Amino acid sequence: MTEELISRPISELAPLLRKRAISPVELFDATLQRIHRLQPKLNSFITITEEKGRQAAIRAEDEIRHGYYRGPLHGIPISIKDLFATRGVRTTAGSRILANWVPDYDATAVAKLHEAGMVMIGKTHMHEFAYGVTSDNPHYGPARNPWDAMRVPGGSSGGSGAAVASSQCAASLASDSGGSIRIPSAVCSVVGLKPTYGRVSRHGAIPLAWSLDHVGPIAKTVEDAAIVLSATAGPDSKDLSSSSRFVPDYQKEMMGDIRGLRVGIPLHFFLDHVDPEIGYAVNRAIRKLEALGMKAVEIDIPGLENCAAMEAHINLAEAASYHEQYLKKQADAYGPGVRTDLEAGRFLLASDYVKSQRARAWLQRNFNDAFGNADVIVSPTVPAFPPVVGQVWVQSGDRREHIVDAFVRFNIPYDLTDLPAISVPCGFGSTGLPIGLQIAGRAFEEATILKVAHAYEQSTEWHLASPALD
Amino acid sequence: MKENSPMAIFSRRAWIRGGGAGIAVLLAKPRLLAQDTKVGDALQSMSSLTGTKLEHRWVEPTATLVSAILEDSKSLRSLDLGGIEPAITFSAR
Repeated sequence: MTEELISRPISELAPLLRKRAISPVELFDATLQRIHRLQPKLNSFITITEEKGRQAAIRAEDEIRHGYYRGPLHGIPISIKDLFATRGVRTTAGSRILANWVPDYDATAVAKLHEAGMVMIGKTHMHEFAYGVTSDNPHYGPARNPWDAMRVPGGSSGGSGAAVASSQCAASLASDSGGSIRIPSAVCSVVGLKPTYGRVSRHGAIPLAWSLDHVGPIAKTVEDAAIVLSATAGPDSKDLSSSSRFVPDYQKEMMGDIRGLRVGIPLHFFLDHVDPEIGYAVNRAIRKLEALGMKAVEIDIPGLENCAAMEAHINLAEAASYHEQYLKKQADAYGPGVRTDLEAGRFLLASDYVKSQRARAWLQRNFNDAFGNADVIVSPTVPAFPPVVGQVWVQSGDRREHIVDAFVRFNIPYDLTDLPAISVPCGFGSTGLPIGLQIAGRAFEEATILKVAHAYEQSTEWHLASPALD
Repeated sequence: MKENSPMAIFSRRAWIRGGGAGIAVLLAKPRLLAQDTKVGDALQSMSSLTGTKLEHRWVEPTATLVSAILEDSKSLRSLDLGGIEPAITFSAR
């Protein structure tokens, strides 16, 4: 099987698998071969599930041969961020504390992917306990960016972004509490979708911060993200925050016309302190959306300047609560960065936490007002290019800032407001590093942002580029 | 620039958030800023009251981060949110 074939999106592989033009086992073996070749260079995986994956591929092949076709994920190699519990497969959350934990259950989203017939090919690398944006992990080494292996792939789902971009899997299940799906997607030139809070069950995902954690796909194309979302969305009695709202067929819904939809251009914050090449690419994307029939409207959203402080109080306090017992018994097993965050979280004021949650409700109102005038809001996903591994300073236009402050800046507002947001490739800088366009929408209107993202993607060729790795 | 000006605090916060290298420096050679010293003392006091044990060598980086977050929170704290309730609500089941 050729490398070209395994680099194809799910939407192209699925019909070939269904009509048995290609074999799930051959697809799995070819993908596995690529993983073994690239793992020393990119370090995208913490665990490779060679045996279980092959068993699943053999089962898929047998089922399809007997006419039992489960759908577009049947026989497709999918990776799972190592944050999700996987039955019989160790789940580390990128930590030393859970280095040997082998769950006896699957996270709900993982179970749904199994039901859809996926072939789980491995558990992807991530920042320790999802608490960071570089995926430079003190216990498992740094994950690396396929577009420049000297650089970080973003995080916390850095292994997922890199694995999808380098065709070590067709898609990946990831999580996002401050940008952890969208950031690696942007800097690895793939598609990352953070759905509305409650759209996909969080059961079985090791928490970072319960009220901020979202589960969603990283994929090669918008259509593939829609396929994975359709398979994983829906109510779950094991997650009290999961929504019972109807789950549409996102693959069908995203095919609609975007003419007449309004694209919101923020007057401030979302376009401030941005690398000029990224700003240029995003402006070019906005012109493209207008050319596709969307109407650009300026919008203003009060309160965005408080997002970083709100996120700090909520994130640190909730994380410190989850990690309380580990901190008491195994504090030395944390990397220094995560340990400091967790220690600090134990000393913040309860009144600041509650104030942050109140400000969050206020921010949600402000976004609702903005979405009265716009159907989607666009911005860069991140304002700067990824630094080389070990460096933590980036240049965001006129501002030199820490990578955490820079990379989460445009992502946090949608984690705080629970709103869906997607990152799609929208260009490359002069050094060949990818640029991501973020498109956000109203609560539970994933179909709208998918539709806009798909129309944009299909009118450009950014998603067709692949990194030179040989 | 005064050592405990907002810019110095911002840089130190970023330094801390960078993880390994920055924190390793603080762990090896403590040098609390004036403001952070007060926070550090407060953390130690809180530890004895709440039973939350904070190892001595972690006082420095923890105090620096807490101090920076508090500094960043001035705008948030000054918000008049009227009767807006927290985003998290609970319902009987």
